Amino acid sequence: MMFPPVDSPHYLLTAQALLTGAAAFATWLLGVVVVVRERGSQISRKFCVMTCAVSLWLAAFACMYGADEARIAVWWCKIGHIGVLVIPAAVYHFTVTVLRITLRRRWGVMAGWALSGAFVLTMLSTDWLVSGVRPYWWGYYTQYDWLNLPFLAFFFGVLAAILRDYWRAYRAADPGSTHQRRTRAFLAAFGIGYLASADYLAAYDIPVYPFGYLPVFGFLAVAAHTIWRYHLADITPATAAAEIIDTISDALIVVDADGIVRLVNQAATQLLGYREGELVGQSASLALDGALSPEQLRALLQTGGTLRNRETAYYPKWGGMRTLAFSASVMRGRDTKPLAVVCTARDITDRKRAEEEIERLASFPEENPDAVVEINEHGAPTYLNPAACRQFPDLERQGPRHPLLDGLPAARPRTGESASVSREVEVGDRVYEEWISMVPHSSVLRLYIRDVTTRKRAEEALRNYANEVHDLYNKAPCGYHSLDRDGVIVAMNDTELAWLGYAHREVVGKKRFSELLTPESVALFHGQFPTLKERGWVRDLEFEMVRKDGSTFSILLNATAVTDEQGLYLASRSTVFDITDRKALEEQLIQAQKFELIGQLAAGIAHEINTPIQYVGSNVGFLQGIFSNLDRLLDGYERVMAAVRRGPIPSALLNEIETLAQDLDLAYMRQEVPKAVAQSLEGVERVSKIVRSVRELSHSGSPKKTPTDLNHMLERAIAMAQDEWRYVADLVTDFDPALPPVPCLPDTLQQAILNILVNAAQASAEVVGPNGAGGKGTITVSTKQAGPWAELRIRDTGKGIPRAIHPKIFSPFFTTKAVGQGTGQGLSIAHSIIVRQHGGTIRFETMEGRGTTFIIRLPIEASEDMPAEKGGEGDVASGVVRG
Amino acid sequence: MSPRVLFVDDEPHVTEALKRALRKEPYEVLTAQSAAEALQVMAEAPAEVVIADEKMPGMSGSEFLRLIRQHYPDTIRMILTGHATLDAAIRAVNEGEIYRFFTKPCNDADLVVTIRHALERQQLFLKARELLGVVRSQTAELDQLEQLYPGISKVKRDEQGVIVMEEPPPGISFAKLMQEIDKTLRKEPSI
Repeated sequence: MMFPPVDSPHYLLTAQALLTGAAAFATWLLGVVVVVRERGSQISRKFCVMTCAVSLWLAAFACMYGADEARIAVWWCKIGHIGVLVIPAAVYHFTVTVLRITLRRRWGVMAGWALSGAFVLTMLSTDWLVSGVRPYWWGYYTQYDWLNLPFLAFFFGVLAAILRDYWRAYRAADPGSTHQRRTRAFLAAFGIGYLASADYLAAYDIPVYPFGYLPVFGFLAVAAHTIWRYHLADITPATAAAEIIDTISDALIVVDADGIVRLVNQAATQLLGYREGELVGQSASLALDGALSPEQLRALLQTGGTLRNRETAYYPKWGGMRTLAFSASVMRGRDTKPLAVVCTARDITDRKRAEEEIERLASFPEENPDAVVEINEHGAPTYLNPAACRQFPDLERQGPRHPLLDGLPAARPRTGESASVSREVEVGDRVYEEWISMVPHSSVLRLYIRDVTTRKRAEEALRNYANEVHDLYNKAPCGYHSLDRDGVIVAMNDTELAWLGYAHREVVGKKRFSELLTPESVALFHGQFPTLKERGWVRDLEFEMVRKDGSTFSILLNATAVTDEQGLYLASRSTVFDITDRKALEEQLIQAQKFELIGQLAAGIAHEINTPIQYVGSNVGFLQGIFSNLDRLLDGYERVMAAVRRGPIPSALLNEIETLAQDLDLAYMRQEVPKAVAQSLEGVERVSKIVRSVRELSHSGSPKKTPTDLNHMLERAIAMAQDEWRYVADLVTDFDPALPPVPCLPDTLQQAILNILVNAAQASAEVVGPNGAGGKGTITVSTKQAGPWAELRIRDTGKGIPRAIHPKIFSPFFTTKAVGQGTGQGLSIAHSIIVRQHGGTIRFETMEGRGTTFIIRLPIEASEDMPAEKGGEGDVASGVVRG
Repeated sequence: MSPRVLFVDDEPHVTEALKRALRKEPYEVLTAQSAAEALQVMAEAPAEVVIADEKMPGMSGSEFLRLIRQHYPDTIRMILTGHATLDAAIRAVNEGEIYRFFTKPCNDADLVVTIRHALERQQLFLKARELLGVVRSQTAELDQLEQLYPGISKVKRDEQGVIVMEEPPPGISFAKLMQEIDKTLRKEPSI
């Protein structure tokens, strides 16, 4: 919206414009003067608003009358109408205030302002009210549209209401009073002022000159006279009271003699949370709920006493609880009869709370079970709380010499440091913690003294306990360590560190456990660590650990897993025992059993050696005899050759040679000599094979595992045990020729296999019986590869193993044989050789009356991902009975 | 007919080698690979000497020799074993009543000598038994004569030791008596 131009060339200084402008200025001046004179009172401000609206109308219209073109006139017309449209609301508001009926008419006032505002907005944004201007002889004048008619209805409605209110007030006022006269004067002033509405006639095609400024001058004259004469309001006790009632912050409630609320002020409605209408005219019980019961009210009215600052709880409409200070006094009429009870109430909730807080804070040092002492700058106590008096009866008497005050106030916190320091003081056999606190801007020190003897002793006990546990952990006779999920050592006790020769800082958090193991043990570790994480425990694992100096030792490891709430692995708890000695003992036991085994096999081995030697000897004797004969023949041959060289052979010589050849039975010789030689060689081979096997067995080989052809090893074992099985069973072999070499200790593995083979032969012998009545059995030896394992099966057709002794099969010294026939160590040793030394498994399948199969599995490669056999070694000893 | 020596061993190489070693000896060498086969050979024609291994499938040597002792008591029994346990030796001696216990390996010469001795011994034994039989039959004849002619087998002497000839009983001539004697003696073939 463009603002209309204000420079003079666009305006004509007509009489009409000048007169209207003068009226505008006069009106505005009156409003300003009244505000200044009445010192900005509420009424004067309302009056000023009213005069401003009128002066806006007149000023804008003056410009409109003087405008030289329609466009500018329209602008001024619209601005002038802002004043016109708010006139009803402003006049009504003033009237209501002057007549002191603000509270009663407040909705009317608000509605008036709202309607006026709506008309202003509509007028500015549309052409529904002001559609334009029309030129007349006195200048431009407004052209209205349809909305002006509703506005005129509103305008005159409000006018009627105002005049009615004045009329009523005039009739109600005390005759001859200032108020009556003032009301009458205003009635007249407004009556005159409203004649200005005659301006509208021109707009409705009634050619009347808009003389509205004239009645305005009249109104101004009367109003100014009235205000100068009577002021806008009287300063009477009544008006003051009304003003006071509405402005005091305390709630005021007046209850008449019948217990009905007659008056409440704004503070009361706010405090109680009810609207005026909800309280006034109603029973007092709602307003005075809890503060004054109907009985008390009646008593008060009868006795006429007063009630002062009674504290009472009140529950306002919006909820919560407030504390009120409640006062009440009786109001009497002229005949001293009690008329009403005037009650005032003040919300003291916050003050009450503050008071309680102060009280609470003040009582703190008194109630403190710990001693609180205040001392002055000389170190003398100036305050002791009851606990201090009780605990330190000498404190007051000894003063600065008391241990608690010793060194004070020198020990006070220095400026710039924190406001308090603490120290420990021993008094007698007790220990106290003393907090020395500085009071700001004062030389006083406050001491808070707490007996910490129990805590100190508990701490000491805990420390001792912790030391003991620490000691127990570190100096335990076994190794102890923890591994995180990556196998990194996160804890290790001193014992294990000492075994290894490492310092704590070299290992913990630095090394993986696998870095401390020999390569073979690493493979076992990688096989078992996932088992630990999954199953939560591992038992009886044997590892070889490497010391810092490179030497090795054997350990037995048991571990459990520490898991979080979800059961996820966090760390291990492993105990480690040095089993080098035990291991050596075990090896000795294996050796000892080996000798027993050799002893057991000795007779058979002797037989197997003696038999070939027997026929080798015979054959060699035979060949010797043959050769001595051959010698003679060779002699003859030489003589024949010599004779041939000389000439014809004498027939006598030929006859002699022929006779000799016949004697020697050359045909027999030719037939038998090669056989004798072949059989002898075969016999020698047999002997040497057995001797080699025996040597292999008795050879206490290197502790290093070497890749070995299992099939070959089995063949030798079969040969060595030949004497055991030959007479009781046929031996069938089913070897997998593609079986890769298996890393093993050949001597002990051979021993284990022999033990099982001998066992199979003995089982077969039980069936065969002493006279061979049962017929020979069959022993089947087979090998094959089963994943990462080399599997070796030795099956016999013996009687099988009774269910009852399944668990004992691999127990040492368990035997079913008669005393003197074996010590029952064979299978036990075989078990420990296969499981402990080779990380393999041994189990058996048996069926009573049908035979037993021992199944040995050995890891083919010491590879990192070697899986742990399901069930672990603990379950190996239990057999499987085939139904 | 030359004597027969039977070797029983489950190891054919052993028996073959022995056969070669003993081929010049004055007896026939027979072989068997098991006790059962040996008993068959014996049933066909008993051997004079049986030499068995102790450890054989089916039947042990001592057990086999016990059977031989029962059925062919005249056969000389020996053990040749590589499994020389005390137990086996005791059983062989007690049950098989063996002539000699050899352990493998044994010297062929020992074997040769022992077999020869055994055969000689057996022949001597048989001779002795035969002679004993002659003596017995002659004694029986004399007894018969004595019954027929009481006092015939007795020689009367006087105080000086002179034989006193008595008159034959009446009815028997001296010539007839001589005939009788001759007849009796001719019943048995002379050795």
